[in-house]
Order: sequence, then structure tokens, then C-alpha cells
Amino acid sequence: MSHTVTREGVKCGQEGWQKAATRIEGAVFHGVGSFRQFENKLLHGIGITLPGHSYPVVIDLVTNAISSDNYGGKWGDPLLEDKLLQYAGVEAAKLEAANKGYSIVETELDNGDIQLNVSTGNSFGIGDGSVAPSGGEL
Amino acid sequence: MNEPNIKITIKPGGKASIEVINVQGQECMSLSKGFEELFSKQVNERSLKPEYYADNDQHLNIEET
Repeated sequence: MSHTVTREGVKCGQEGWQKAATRIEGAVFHGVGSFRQFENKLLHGIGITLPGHSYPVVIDLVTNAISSDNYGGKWGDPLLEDKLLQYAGVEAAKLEAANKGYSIVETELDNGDIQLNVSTGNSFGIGDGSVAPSGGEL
Repeated sequence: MNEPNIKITIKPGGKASIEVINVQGQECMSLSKGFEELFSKQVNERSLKPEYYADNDQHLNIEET
């Protein structure tokens, strides 16, 4: 019998997952490899062991599927898995913003949500309409 | 118009909502595209704000005059 639960994850990349893992005290980021779950089920991907969890969370780098096995909370707190996925989303968005040259401010809300305010500047050509004339300078 | 902004709200578990602010017309979708692709499995639905239709309305007015 398998207890492994698989769900869809954010496109985060190894760097994003590592940053997400470091935000959870006691979490161990193993990098890419093969990881055994219950009954020697072998999974390949990024492995992260959350504190108090018997088996690592494994992220498939091709499908972004996330596999975990907490046996209904007996082998690990499912809320920590939810936090890991939330932080992965935050870190993925931060990396995307950095790639585009946007600035980003993170705020944790009272209900546990995390809000990101991304400032794009005028890089999208929206704003005062200033355009350099052909061959000239503003 | 104020600076374009994107507001992303992420719940525990990873579900996300994305809101584009201070952008009129279809450019809002271009602006949010990269973020939507990250959360393609987590964004529940897309709802368009009135600003999305602003450019289209303007375009129709121009054609009619």
C-alpha cells in the first residue's frame, strides 16, 4: 500500500526550491538524487526533508510534481509541506522578477497568505509616453 | 497613470492569485504572463478587470469617428 501523495507544484527550479527549504527551520535540502519513500518506493528529483518527517518531499524537475508521504500526519506535519509549497511560489516569483529587473516587496498577511508587490517601473513602455527619436536622444 | 504593478498572493499549499494594477488593455496579460506560467497549475481562474477592455473601447470609438 502506498501513502505517497502527489500534487502539482510551481515551476521553481533547483535554486528556488533550495531557497524555499532554507526558510523552514530544520529542513534539509538534499539536491537532485534518488530518494526512497515508504516500502522502498524510489523517486527521482529534488529531495527535501522537512523537520519531523520520516520521508523526504521529492520534486520531479520535469513535471514539477511534488510527492510526499506523511501518512495522514503520522509521519510528518502536512502544514509544513503546505508552507514549503508556499515558499517555493514566493521564491519562484522573486527569481522571475529579478530576471525581468522588477523590484519586489514581500508581506506576510495575518491569514497566513504571502503577498508580493512587484513594481515593474516603466519598462513595459507604459507611462509618460517618452520615446527617444530615431537616431537621437531624449 | 501610476506605475504598473503586479500583486501576487500565495496561500499555504501554493495556490496563487495574480492581479495587475495600473495597466489598461491587453498589455496586462503580457505583463503577468511570466508569473502566470510559474503558477500555471496554481492560478485558479482568470478574471478580467474593467481596465482590460479600456483599449478596446477606445479603439472602437476611433473607428466610428
